[in-house]
Amino acid sequence: MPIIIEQLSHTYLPGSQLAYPALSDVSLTVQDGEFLGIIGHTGSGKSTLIQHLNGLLLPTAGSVLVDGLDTREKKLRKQIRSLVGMVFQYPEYQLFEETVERDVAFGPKNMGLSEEEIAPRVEEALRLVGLNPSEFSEKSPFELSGGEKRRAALAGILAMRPKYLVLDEPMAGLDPRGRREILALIESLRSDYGTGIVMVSHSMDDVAMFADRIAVLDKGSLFMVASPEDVFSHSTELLEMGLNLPQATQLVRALRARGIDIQHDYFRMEELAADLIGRWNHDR
Amino acid sequence: MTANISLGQYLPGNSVVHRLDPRTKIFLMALYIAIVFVVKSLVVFLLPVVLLVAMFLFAQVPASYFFSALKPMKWLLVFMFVINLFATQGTTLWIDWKFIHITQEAVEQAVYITLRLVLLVAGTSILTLTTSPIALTDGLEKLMSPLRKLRFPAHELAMMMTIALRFIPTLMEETDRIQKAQMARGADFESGNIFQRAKSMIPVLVPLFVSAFRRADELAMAMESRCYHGGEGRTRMRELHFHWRDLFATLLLTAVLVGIILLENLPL
Repeated sequence: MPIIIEQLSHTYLPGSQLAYPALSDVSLTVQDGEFLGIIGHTGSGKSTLIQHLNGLLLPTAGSVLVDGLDTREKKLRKQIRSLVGMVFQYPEYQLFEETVERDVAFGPKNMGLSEEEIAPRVEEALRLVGLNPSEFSEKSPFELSGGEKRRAALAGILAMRPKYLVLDEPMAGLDPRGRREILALIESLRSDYGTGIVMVSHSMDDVAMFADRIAVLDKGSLFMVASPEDVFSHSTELLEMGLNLPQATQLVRALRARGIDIQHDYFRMEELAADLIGRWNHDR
Repeated sequence: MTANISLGQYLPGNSVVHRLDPRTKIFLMALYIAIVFVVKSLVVFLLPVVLLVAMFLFAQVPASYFFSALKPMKWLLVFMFVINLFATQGTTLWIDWKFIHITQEAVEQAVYITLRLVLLVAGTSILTLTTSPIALTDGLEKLMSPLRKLRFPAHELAMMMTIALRFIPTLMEETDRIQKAQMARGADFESGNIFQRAKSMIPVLVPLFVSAFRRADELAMAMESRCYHGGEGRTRMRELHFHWRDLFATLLLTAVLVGIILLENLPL
């Protein structure tokens, strides 16, 4: 079953002078096991939207159903939060326990699992993020390196075995290697566990590379939700919203401006490269 | 988003009161407090009441702020009123029923005390409503600077206050964020008894402290790399200047204070 967002509106501080409509009339479905990218300029409502997916924020109007469970029902919230794992920006700042093991166990413990059920989950989660349990379990999370902390925090969410994983800028502030590792992890979660991924990102290349569909938010409204191909063929509109384009799309635009006729709207570098090499060989 | 908490409660504006020098305003508040405490009889209480109304009018502060200033105090006010009503000894009995004895003196005393508290709280709120926290600490620093001769760290204290105020919204935001992150991991801050709730705050407090220390460290580093070295020989971008309005306001309030002292002590 999917996550169904229907005509969702959210206003911060409703009724006061500071009332601020952050989302209006957004309808969107997150399918089982799909990779949905969310892009939008700062203040477009991305964070507000994803916080609705596990009931951290509640709709001012409209509804959010997670596998048929309404986020407005207080009794269902715990269940919803174990279905939808949420990785905030800079998740390493939520580490608090004395050992990595105990920190990772925090989520499963809150779900009411027994010690016997928790231990294998913790070990599995640590392995998934590439932290060797025998080496890291007993370490304090505060003595890890930046990248390790990020992965330990991620393990804390994965140990809950969420059906959907929502990530807000999961690669922010990481070095290229750290970025690659996190992206590979997200991809393997989807392929090996069938986890549905919702990822907010400012990197158009990452979204273009991995997302099945992309939702574009602009000033609190859903501009479009479609395949990367469709979305990046609207390059002019995206640029007007203050968004960037994937490098391949930028190159296509630049080449077209110079009179080189490329029919296809490429958004992945490999495909564009293949096309260009084909032309070059042909011309010779 | 925790914008619903208005700390410092500064209400930007350009009224006469807003433009008064912060040093003057701090001094005027001291005068005002003196006035409120010097008043003893009901008729003379009219003067500080009029003064309070005048302050709200001149500061162009909506009357609703009067009530929001008193709101956190409401139970204290009720408590003070009731305590004074029953505990004050007097001679003229008004109500005498079973164990309840209320005298005229008690009623007067209760009204005075409550009115005094209302005047104090509402009046001093004008200071924070019309003075930005930065101006306030600037004013305090200047007022305290003579104490530097006694090795009192006036500048450092003011700087610490400024920084503390500056970081309140940041830390609130941070708290909100961490709280949400832990809630996403199934943490529950709302149910359970008081001990369970206190314990449930640990996953929020530990990261909050860690980040506060990190921020403090970074700020210290940033200040040092811009050659900050404390108060000695430091000039400021915006110097405070006294104007005629500062003198007028001070004279006015002094006159009211002297007038009240005379009224209360002259046999009329």
